[in-house]
Amino acid sequence: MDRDPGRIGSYFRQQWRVLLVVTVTGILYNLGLAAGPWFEGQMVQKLTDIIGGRAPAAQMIRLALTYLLVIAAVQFMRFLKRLYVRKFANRTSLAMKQTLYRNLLEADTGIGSGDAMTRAISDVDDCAEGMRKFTTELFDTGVVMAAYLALLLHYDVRLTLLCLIFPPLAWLLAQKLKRPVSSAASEAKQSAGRLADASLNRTALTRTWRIFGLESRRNALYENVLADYEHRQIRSGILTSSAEPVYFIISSVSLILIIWLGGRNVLGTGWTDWDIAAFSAFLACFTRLATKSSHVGKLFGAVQKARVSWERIRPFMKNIHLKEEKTAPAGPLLVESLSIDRLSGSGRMFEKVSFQAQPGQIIGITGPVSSGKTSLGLALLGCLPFTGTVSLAGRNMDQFRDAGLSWASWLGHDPLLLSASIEDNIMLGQQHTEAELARLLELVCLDREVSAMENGIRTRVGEGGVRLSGGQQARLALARALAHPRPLLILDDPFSAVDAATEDALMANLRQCCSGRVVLLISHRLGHFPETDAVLYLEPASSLSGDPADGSHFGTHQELLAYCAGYRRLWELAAEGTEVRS
Amino acid sequence: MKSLFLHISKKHLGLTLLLALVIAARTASSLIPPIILGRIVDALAGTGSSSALPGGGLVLAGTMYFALLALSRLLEALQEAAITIWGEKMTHGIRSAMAGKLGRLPMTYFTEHDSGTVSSLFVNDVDTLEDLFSSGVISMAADLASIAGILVVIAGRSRGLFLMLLAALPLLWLFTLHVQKRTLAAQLDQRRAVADLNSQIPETLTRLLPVRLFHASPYMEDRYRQACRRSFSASERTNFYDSVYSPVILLCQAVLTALMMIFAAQSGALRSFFGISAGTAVTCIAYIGQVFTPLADIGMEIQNIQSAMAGARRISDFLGEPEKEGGPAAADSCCSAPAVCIRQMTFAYPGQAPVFSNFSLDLKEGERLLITGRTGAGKSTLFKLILGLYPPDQGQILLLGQEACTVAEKDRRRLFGCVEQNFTLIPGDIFEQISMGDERVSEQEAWDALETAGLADTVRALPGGLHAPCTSESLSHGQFQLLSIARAIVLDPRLLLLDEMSSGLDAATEKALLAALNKAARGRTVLSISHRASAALGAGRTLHLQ
Repeated sequence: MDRDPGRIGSYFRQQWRVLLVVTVTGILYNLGLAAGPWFEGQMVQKLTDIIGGRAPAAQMIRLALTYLLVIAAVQFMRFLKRLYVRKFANRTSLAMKQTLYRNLLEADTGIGSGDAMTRAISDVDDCAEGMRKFTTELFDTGVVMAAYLALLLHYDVRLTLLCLIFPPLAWLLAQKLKRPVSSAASEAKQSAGRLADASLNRTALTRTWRIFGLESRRNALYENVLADYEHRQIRSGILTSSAEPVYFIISSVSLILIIWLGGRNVLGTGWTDWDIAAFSAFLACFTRLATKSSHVGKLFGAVQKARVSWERIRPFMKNIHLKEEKTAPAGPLLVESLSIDRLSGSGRMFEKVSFQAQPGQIIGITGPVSSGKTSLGLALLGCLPFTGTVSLAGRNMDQFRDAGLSWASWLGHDPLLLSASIEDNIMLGQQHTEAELARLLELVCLDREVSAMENGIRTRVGEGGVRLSGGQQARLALARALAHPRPLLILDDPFSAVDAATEDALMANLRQCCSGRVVLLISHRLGHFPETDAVLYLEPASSLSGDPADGSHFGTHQELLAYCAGYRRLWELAAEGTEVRS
Repeated sequence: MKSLFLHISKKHLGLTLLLALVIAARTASSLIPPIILGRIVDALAGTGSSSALPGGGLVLAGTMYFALLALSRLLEALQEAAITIWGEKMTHGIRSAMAGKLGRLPMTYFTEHDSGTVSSLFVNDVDTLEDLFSSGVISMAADLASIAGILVVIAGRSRGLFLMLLAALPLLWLFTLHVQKRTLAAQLDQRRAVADLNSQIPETLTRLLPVRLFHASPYMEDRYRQACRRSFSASERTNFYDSVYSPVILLCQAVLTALMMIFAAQSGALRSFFGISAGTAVTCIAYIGQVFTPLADIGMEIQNIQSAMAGARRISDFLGEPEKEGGPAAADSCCSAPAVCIRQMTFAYPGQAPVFSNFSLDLKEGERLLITGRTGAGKSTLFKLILGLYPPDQGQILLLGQEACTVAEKDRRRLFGCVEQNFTLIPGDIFEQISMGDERVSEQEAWDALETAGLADTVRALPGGLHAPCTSESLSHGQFQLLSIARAIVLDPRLLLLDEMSSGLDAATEKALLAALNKAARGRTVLSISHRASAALGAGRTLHLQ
């Protein structure tokens, strides 16, 4: 449980069972690979003996069947190994993704590092793929080369050593070839980019070219790009496909030695005494060894790629435990001398705002465009830095945060729904009864609409709620806020998509169900402000003058109309039917 | 499309023949090394014609074996190269033909097809054709040749093995198809699951605030885990097919080898039917190893061909689109003719009510005309007709005596210049914005045009001057309008068409723009649908479109 997801080794340790299967089957398979050439040699030898009358034909049947059995076993091992090594990669990727996701949800790195996070997710697949290749190649290249080598040495030490001169030479050459090959490939890629641009320009600007009579001329220019593309693609293609034959040819020079010196062995004039079986087994074994050793480069490549991906993922691989949900006790809200700086850093948004509210009260908050209404809401959620004090039931936000207590529920202008069912969007996994859910839907006047839907509360709302109307989205989001009761409920311009009659009903229901909580209603639509218990009018710090009638004020609707010039102006504008947009 | 293939193949006849030759040579050369190896083994075993090889003979045989092996690999590389070259020549030819076609399409094609679709024909669809050539048709031919070659050689050496292969190959071929089909289906499922999984990340990132406020992390994690599971089980299926195919094929090889050896070891009729000596056995084992690789490749190639077919069909449709009528007529520009002369012209967009019926208009050289009318009255359409973008359904549109639609490309910029409503930025530096790649435009002419447009000082101040790179941020909106004027007048056209001037310019810029228009209009016939421009240019006729 307490493994450290930030260490790559932990993924290998966590899946030791899978890796054990991979190891056992991998070793058996790769050792078994040498059995193929060995048996084939034996069968050729046996055939020679039978034809020469030195052995009965029945021996071949036994030998061939044994061969078949061994190959079947070896290939079965191979199947298991391939399957399990892929299982390993899959599970690693899964484990990494889940750790990453938890980091995204809980760690402070989550907010603001969205792009890096999205990229990291795609790196996970590269990383897991690299780990798979590493594990695969470790057996396929490492173990099998050792097995082949052992077999070769067993047949003839001196010949083997002679033969081993050439594959490393080929490998060195392949390394040398790597650079021109990859630079040709990247040139070809760039040229492909230019061609795509040129195609786009030729087609998208057709009208312009035609007006100015330049279509033939542009076709001629396009032809140049095409010629360049053709040239570079051919160059890169030829270089890429010629590397392997060159490698193969160089490492195959040893074949001359094997046929010459190995043949002498069979004829009895060589270093060791061979039969035909030894000869053909040695030859087959060496051919496969040469092919295998060309994969060593691939092994390094895969490891290198995985390491780069891992370095990018790593910052998001912290081990984080989910916190338990606990709610702060209800009580009066007290805000004193609250000021918030502008994000741009150029001065204050508003200055020294104070107000208070009792549980059960609804406070309206308004102000002109960019007076900081939304910021005030976010500051009370603890999402924006501020100066001044905010306390709820006598304790301030830092104390709540340290104790892991949730104190506020919130609904913004954007409902921020999930692509999930109506039920899940409201409850977000919280335990509940059907009656509770029905009651919530009733409170937000969504009960009838939902029961009219084919799948009822299981209806999926689509990405961001697209399958619902704007008003339905807003009410669904309100139901979500009400389903998670906190001592403070902040509603930031939630009803702009809701019709007037429904809005009236919602306000009445809100009053009824929030008797124990403080509700802050932030809005530029003042229709329901006369019903609120008090109103906070925010004046932007930039437009403050010395006049006491200006500035931010807190009082009842009637009081503010009497002595707050800004609020009066907003109210009059609203009465004229002109909406002040925020 | 088919004729285009034939045409391009004929154009590169030498290459096409070479390709066929290389494929044949490669197939033949890959068949020989196992035979030599067989001979060597026979000689060593003493069952062949010569009972023993002297040491020198061994070196020679080894060198030959190596040389032929090397040759076959080289030819293989050569074949790859020839396929690449041939495929590139083919796609080059197709893209050229498509660009040519673009110039012959009527303007209505571009109003009916958005530019994204058209450019995707040029980029994506031709790319899939490229795959079709490089790893489709031709490699399939080469692979089939390999299989056929091996079968022929084996038929000559061991009739029994030949018959066994003949029976086994179709079965394995069906197995290959089955596995590849299932793999593809599983891969599609997996891709869908992964897309679903990945879409949860941006969704979560934008909803972090409610997730944290409502303590929804456990729920979100659970949701993510479920999506992970779905993608996991989809990839497990792909993994299974991935893992099972190659072991099965190799096992089949072993079965064939074992059967061959058993039968060859029998006495009498069976042995002669299989006709195998030790050397032939070695040869045949090598062949059995070779014959299955092309089989799997052919399966992949068929998939490539199938997926390229849709693209090929779209390209074929594009090349078959009806073309605009009439080529460039003989240029008989007549100085005595009126600058613009429209006679009883009728025009309607396809399937719509006519915009003009029996419309006539005469404009003398040097005259200025302001065209007014509400939106949709046909101001822009009249411009497009005069620019020759659409042919009139009836009647005539003559510019200095020439039919507007048939003005030769090279005459267009000398006949008229058009200041569009918004500047169309083309890739390239400032000079290219003015010349638009036209070789006739000299730098001096570009400077003169900039001077007239009142933009010369601005350009001089840019780092690189006339050859400063030009992006949408290089100049202000108003300056781009000035650049548009320079572009229109650089080849000294007789006729100037001024589209509606875009609004939203500050007073100083607008003043500069009007001054530039005034200068540019000097000595030219001007047609304008811009009130403000017209007012600045002074007296002229006004035509109100109903």
